[in-house]
Amino acid sequence: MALIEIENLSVTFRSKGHLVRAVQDVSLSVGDGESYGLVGESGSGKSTILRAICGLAPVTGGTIRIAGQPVPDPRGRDFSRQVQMVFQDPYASLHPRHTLDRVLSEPLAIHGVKGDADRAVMQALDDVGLPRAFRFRYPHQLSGGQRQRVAIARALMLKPRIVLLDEPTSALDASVQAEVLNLLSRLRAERGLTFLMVSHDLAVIDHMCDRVLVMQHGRAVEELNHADLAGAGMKTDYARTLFEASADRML
Amino acid sequence: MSDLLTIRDLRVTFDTETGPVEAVRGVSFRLGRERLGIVGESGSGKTITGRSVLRLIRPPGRIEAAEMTFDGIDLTRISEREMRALRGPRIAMVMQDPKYSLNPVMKVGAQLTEGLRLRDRLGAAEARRKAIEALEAVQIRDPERVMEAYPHELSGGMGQRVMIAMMLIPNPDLLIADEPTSALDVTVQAEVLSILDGLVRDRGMGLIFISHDLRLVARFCDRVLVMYKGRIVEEVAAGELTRAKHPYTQGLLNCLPRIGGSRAPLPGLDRDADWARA
Repeated sequence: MALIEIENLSVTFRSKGHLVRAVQDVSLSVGDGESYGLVGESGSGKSTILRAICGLAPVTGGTIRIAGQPVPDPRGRDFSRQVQMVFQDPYASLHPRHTLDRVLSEPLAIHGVKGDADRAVMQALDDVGLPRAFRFRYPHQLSGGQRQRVAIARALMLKPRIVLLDEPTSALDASVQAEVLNLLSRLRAERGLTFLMVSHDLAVIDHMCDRVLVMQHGRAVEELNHADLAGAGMKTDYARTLFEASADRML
Repeated sequence: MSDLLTIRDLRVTFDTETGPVEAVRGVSFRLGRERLGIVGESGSGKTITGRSVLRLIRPPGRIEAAEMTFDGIDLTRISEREMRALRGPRIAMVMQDPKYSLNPVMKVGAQLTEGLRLRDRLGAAEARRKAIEALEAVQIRDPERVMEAYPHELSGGMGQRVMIAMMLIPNPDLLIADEPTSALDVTVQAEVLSILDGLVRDRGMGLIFISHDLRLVARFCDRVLVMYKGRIVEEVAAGELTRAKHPYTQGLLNCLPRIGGSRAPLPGLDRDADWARA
């Protein structure tokens, strides 16, 4: 059974009186332990799908089910224990006046997780490859890559099954991107995580995902598996255009 | 071929609380009427190098160079007034982010014609005609509408094209483009690159293309300078990039995921090697 099932999802915003259809009629399903990619250009609605899953964007049509259950509205604590998100900009997604210790222990406090919070924080730092000495630092004392490690550690504090990744490496330098992608792959293998990952970079999607949905103007264009993507086996013109524009990503 | 720009031993120093920091440490290169790429990661000094050519480093930053010559003019000696006459008409720079580099409270048309009216003393109608021509040159299909728009009403790709149009109006001999396509989608990126490419070919302009994206630069430029920690570690012909010799260049290339590549962990960059500490 699929862990994430999205059927005919539509997201419509109202802006200055007119309607913006950010996502129209998109369906997808992600199996347990799978890594699924969403790729497309800006405004294609890929990030909006992640936000709709989390309740950060209004679902105006269709259904979202996690492990067979429709997601409750508002999402609630049980949802947060299963699904967590990592955002694109590590400079904006961490509270500038909270130490890493506070950032990482807050989810435990909110969810009333019993046990040794101290040890959990240290373990989380170890897991994402940050020195324990960083525990009482503030985000501005870290580099972009280190911050993104913190954001990943925070997302994993509640031991979720699903991690939604919104362009997790696009703000990072190439060598740092490699480290963060490696970290994500390792954590997924170790913990059997399911990823739903958004990226505009086909090479990153190819490296990380088993299947990928190409999106344009809020609609699903084509779903590709890993072999189709690498072997240029796309059927629609748009997916091909995107692939050809990314030709240098094969170098 | 005569050189358009010659830079020898460029150093840019910033005085900070913890002592002087050299952001650029002895950079030398020559540029003809060609496309030169400068790549490096954040903090490598590539943007500062580009800005130095226009002497756009604010105090406490200091620019020192054994030689900085543009078309026979000694950029280290001329007055600020003479420098101002070069900026725009002779050497132009496209900044990284249209969101921050266009005036948010001025219509695009007013920004495009400002220079023409003030510098070239053109009349309103003539300036407007030239501005619309410039927008057409960067493949904007409805220039009339864009002229009347404020920057926030444009998409990133449109904003970036407006910036390029603005820099091209005075027909400069040298264009410095700092990450001109990083904020753009791949398909729009291809369009902007072909516009720049056409300008180098048709107008014989020199282009310095600053980017963090090694593969993009390799595809687009003639020569590539790779910078690390304020130095040029390697210069390669763009086509030879995969045969780059320096461990940093190789490391940068290897750590990139590839379409159809192996899914094994990506090799990291060894920052403790001898070359990295120098």
